[in-house]
Amino acid sequence: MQLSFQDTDHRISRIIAVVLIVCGIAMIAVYAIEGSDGPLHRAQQGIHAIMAPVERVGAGIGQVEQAAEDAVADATADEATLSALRERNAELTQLLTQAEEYRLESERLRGLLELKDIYKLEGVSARVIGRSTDAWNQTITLDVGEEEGVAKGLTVMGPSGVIGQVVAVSASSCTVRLLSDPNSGVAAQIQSSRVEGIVRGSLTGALHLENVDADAQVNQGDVVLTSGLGGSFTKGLLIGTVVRVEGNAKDGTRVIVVAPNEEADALEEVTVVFSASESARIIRKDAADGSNGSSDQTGSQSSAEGDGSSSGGAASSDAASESSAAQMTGGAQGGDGA
Amino acid sequence: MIAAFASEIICAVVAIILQAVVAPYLAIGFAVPNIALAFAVAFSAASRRTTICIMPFLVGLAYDLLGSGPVGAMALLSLLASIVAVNLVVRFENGTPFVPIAALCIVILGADLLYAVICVTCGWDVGLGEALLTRSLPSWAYDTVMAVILYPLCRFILRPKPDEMDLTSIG
Repeated sequence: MQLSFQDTDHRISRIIAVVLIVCGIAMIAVYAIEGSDGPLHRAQQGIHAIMAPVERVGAGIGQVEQAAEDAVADATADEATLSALRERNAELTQLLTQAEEYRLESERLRGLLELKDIYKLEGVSARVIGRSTDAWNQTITLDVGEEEGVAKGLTVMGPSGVIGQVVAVSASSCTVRLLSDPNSGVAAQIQSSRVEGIVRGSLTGALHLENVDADAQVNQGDVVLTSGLGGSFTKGLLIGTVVRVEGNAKDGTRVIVVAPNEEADALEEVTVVFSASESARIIRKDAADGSNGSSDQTGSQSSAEGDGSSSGGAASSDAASESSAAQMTGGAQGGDGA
Repeated sequence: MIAAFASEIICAVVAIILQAVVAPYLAIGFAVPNIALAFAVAFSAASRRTTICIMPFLVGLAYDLLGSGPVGAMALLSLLASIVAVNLVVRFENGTPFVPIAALCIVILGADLLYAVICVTCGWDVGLGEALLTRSLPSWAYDTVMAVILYPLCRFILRPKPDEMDLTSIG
């Protein structure tokens, strides 16, 4: 009798196992076939939204871990290290002063030439509240979402360079795919030569500049910016610096390695960048509403239209261009340093 | 029976929460520990239950939904790994910890390798060899360590309670 029960149990178990295996295979197939708006993708995004508040707890753990690492490093730092740090600090101060000079000079020249493509960088600051829960994806979760005007596809920047793109948004959080993710790709150009290509992530975390003309000259130290082609990333933002060119362009084996200007692993705050034209619209709408600043950006991106000639827009553009110039200068230094 | 079921559910929920909250901050390089897989396999091996349990599938599914990989992949692999782990442990049980540890190593390696295959099949723009070398192997090492740590804990949780012991064996 007992044996009979065991047999029945095993038979039921086998049926359940087969059903679950079929379910698993079916889900994988559906996930691979469906688009990013498919039911499984949406379920994934829904879970991300639900788990966002829980992940905030993890951010605290990350800070504690970082603090512990810093404390250990500080406690074990010897006199030679401290001397080296002091020297480095003096060097950086000098570089900062020089950078400020360049920034001011750049602004004056830009004003004289009346360049139209000045940076109208407008965005919303966000805190990193979560990181990828698996080894296969390089993503972070931010504490801003649709309520703050964040939309899918927006560019995300660290203090001095692009770090990724928003790939999923919920009401109060969003998921950002980092540039280092193998599935990410950004249209880019080299600042000096204007050579265009695509910066892709890789499993090793390095960025590779691909699809570059075989005739194009690429040198170590070249600064790489977003080109804005395809419209997925805001134009002219710093990505990083070419650190290595391997192989030969003629036989198609050239590999251009780009060091990202921003190490996303260490970031705690980032900026989600709205597009330049949309930023101008927000400012104009705010001016029309009589409100000051860009505190209410929700919904305004798509609601207002105009030519960007208002004084509010101009002022903001100037401020934004200062910010961008500062980021660019800092970024170039960082890249050189790398 | 009910107590064992409850402890299984509680442990699974804790494993999922740890995966969401703690695992990202335990990353070493690109290797993020897969606590969900490690727990599912370790718990199954510790239980010695050859009848199928849905828990590994659900834990794997939770992992898929928390991450950005193909949904269903880890659910499927977690289930298969648990089935293989239990059968290996039951078949080769010799009273030493070597058999369960070896079983955990083998099934987790298989799961991590197959996950890479599934990712590449689902359209990842990376080479299979690169994926295996840079992700599967580091993840396997990390996941195995996690499973080996979790295994004795699971054995402790699943130890027979005094009132559940077979009284006929006394005397």
